[in-house]
Amino acid sequence: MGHPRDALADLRVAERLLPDSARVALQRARALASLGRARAAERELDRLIADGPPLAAAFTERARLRHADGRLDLARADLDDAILIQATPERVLERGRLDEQRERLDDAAAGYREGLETLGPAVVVQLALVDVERRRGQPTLALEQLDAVLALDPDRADWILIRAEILHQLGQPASAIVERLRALVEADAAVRRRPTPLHRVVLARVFLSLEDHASARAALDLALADAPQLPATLTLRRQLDALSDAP
Amino acid sequence: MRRRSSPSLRPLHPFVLGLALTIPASASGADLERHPYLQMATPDSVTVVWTTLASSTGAVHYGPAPDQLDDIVASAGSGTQHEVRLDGLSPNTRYYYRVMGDGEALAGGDEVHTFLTAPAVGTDRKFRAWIVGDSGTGGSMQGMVRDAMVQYAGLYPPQIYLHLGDMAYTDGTYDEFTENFYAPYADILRNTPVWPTMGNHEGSSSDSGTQSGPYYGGYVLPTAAQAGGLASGTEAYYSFDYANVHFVVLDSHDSNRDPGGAMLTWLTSDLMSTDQEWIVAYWHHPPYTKGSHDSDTEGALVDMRENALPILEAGGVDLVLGGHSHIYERTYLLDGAYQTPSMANVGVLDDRDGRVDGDGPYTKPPGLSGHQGAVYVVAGHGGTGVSQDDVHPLVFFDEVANGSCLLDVQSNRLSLINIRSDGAVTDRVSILKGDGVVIDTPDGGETLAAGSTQTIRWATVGRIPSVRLEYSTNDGDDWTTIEASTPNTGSYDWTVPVVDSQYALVRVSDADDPTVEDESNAGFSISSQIPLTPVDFGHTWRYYDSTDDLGEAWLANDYDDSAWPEGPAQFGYGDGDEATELMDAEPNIPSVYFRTEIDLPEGEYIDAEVTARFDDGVAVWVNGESVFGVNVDDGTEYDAWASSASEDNEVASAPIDPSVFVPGTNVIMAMAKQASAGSSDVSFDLRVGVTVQVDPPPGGEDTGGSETGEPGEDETAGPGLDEDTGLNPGTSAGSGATSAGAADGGTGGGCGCSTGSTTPPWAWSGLLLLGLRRRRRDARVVTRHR
Repeated sequence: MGHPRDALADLRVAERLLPDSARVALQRARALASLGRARAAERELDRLIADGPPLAAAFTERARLRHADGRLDLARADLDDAILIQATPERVLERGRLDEQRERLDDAAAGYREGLETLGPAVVVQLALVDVERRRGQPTLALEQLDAVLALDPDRADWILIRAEILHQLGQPASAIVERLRALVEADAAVRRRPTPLHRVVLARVFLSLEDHASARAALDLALADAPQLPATLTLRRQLDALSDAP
Repeated sequence: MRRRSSPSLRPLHPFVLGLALTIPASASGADLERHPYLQMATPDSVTVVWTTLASSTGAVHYGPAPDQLDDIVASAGSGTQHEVRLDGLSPNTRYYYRVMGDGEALAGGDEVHTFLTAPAVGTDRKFRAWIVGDSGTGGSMQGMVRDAMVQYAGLYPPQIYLHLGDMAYTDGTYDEFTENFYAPYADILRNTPVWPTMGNHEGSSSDSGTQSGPYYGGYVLPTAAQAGGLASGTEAYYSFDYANVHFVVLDSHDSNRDPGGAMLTWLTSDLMSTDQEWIVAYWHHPPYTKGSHDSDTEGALVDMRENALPILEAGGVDLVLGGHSHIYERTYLLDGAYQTPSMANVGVLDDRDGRVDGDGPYTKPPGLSGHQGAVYVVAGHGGTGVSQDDVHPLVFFDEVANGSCLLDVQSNRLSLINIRSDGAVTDRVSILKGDGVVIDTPDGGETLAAGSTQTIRWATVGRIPSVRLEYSTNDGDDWTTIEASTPNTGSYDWTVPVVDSQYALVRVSDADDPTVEDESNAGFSISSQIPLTPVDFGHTWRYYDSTDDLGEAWLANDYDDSAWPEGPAQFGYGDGDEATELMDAEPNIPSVYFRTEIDLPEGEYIDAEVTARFDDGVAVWVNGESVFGVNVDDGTEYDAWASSASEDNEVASAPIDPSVFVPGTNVIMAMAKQASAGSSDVSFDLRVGVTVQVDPPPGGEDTGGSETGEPGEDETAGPGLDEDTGLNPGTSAGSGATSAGAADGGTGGGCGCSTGSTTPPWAWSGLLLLGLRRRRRDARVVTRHR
């Protein structure tokens, strides 16, 4: 919201014209939050939610306010309510990240699964689930989920690389190396087919996984030359720099 | 005579006629509210949607011909909105359909309820997409923009319709959608699947977070990659494949625009997975604009530029479309211009004009590579009021006028044109990947006179010393060689064969490698019957507004009118819309004289028509022969008043005897009459149309190819639609944007010729193609070439 003070003034007028409008109340809460008046914003949302009918956006906004000041249980409950009304990839991810932040990885995994049941195969949620399954020590479930993702695009090198990492976690180092080499083949083919920074970063990651730091650096440098502002390139550069600095 | 205005006498546009003639009466209680429209078209499926006023059961009957609708799919249960998915279809195949309600036919079962399935994904079949933004006012300008596209496209309508948001002003309510989107575009939507993105006005009533409201209720969009790409899990943003293009549709209004948010995370993954040759992305809030919105100061626009573009450009995006800002703006080829504010020359990868008839097309390496440049287009000019706050430093061409865009993709060539609401094509940009050829003219929509000499114009990239030139008169089923090998000069004067065809194409290819080629994006017409408009509204006339009675002497062709003043129509006084003001005497004079000379080509004149805009009476003579009159029952003498008063700017039209015209010089005489001594206004403007039958020149038949001029079964052109709509592509304008030029025949392409001219691209020999002139409407037009 670019000009929350002006927005508030306009919303006061709108409120007089439409005193029972949930939309106006929601915007007013957002404007108050933008001005740093979190308590006033939350009161507005409390009223809106109490007056009903249930509005997913109101629960989501209140969850963010509660999350911001550390009331994580309440924030989680609000996101539950929002998702119950309407699941979206954003809400499911937001709830999952909140759970992960609280180190409640079982809840996060359950939340992602529940979201996928409603949303269908949303790739960003599927990958979040793969990640949390690995982190909570459930590589078999992670692999199962990842294979569902890989079915969408079997040649995706970045996904094959995740598969290698899971296999490693499962205690299958030989299989993991095979998968890394398969990822290398696919990443190399993808870069030849489509020499984009997105694909070069993946190739660099694969090299890194094979502990070929020089090749990883070379691939990354090519990506950086084209896309110095791409977040993925910057993240990987930090990773490689850290490895170079290590004794 | 000033009275309340009334509808003009102009005939109904064929588009409107098509609508009126093709809606069958419903025999059931379930009358249609929204006529059938198509959603989520893929190579093997399409979803047909319609709504009824009362709850009913629904079904779709479909098949390969209107009388062979043997396959039936019923909608689930009863309701008012019916969504029926037809599966198991064949790619790039035409089907016909009928929608049913409670067992009764509601619409279809005719030639016009038809659709073409998408080509197989990855194939480089040429196709056309219509691009519209900010259209949903329900007003006349929205209709003019639509009609201008329909008329331009003619027999080659778009296969898909991309809407950039703000399709239902003011709040995107259900009724506003019905009245301002589904109704005005009904004739297009029944054939053309629409792929929308949500605008801020839809956002007033619809919510991406809850996937609810009229926007989400009306559209059926992919959430699970049903049409290609990767599953987004939401209808708010999605992707789909069509032929060799990957389309990415983002939600800039109501979804999280942060780099780590779900939408941009999905975008990264989606771009990683596509191997399509082209990537086109669109959303509502444009990253570069200074029209009615400012991309340097407004949050959603800044976010999309700073957060989405780095991902898209890294993924190899080629073209980005936006609306929101009520203007047409088109950038140079850009890369990496993410900073706020945008600055001149920062991020400009190619500062040429991107026009085939100018500096040449923008070029990129073959296939998909990251950061090789993209063109950004703002097309928020689909119907609502246009305005401009400033000139954006990265925009090559802008125009403050309503219109829409057509995107044509053929293998490694992508072109986009801007069609203004008056039908003029004011911008055309092309991108070529790798070596190749791009045709400038004829490129579709033109009408060429049989037997005339036309210039075929093209540009090339790569080493192509010689080119092969061919033409087809049946939409590419058969090709006739014009020159097997001619130096690659970028242009060639072609004697048009004496055939009648509405499906003509030219093809230019590397003489040594026929796979390096381009053909006209759409068909053009070759006609031995040429509609000319030697006098159009706004024509410059000599006139004589005086108290002098000239008797009948002024009706002689050789009458000396050289002392008369000269000026453009409309003539008159009292209304404020006059281009040339006539004497407003007290009392009024009864008559004003007008004369103009026109030249007509050799040939047989087979039809002629006069259309007058007048107040209160008008009479017209051709070469001294009286041909037309309205409200002149009291005579055409100088001192006779109009026999009746008219409406303000009344329009009347009538056919006239074409035999009054002669080859060479003709004189048109007209007299405008006032109704009374005290009337407050008078008006005069005139259009004269003549259709000429062209005789084949000596040996002219030898230049022709196929005699049929009819296409075969190739469905790309959508043959048959013209019979249904009655459209005459012969009146469509060709590219009017630029002057001609020649390719250099070597590497690098382009022609180094001038840009920005509105000179028609055709170099005529022997014939004037006055029929191509279009009536200019009174839209505010500000055009800037830089």
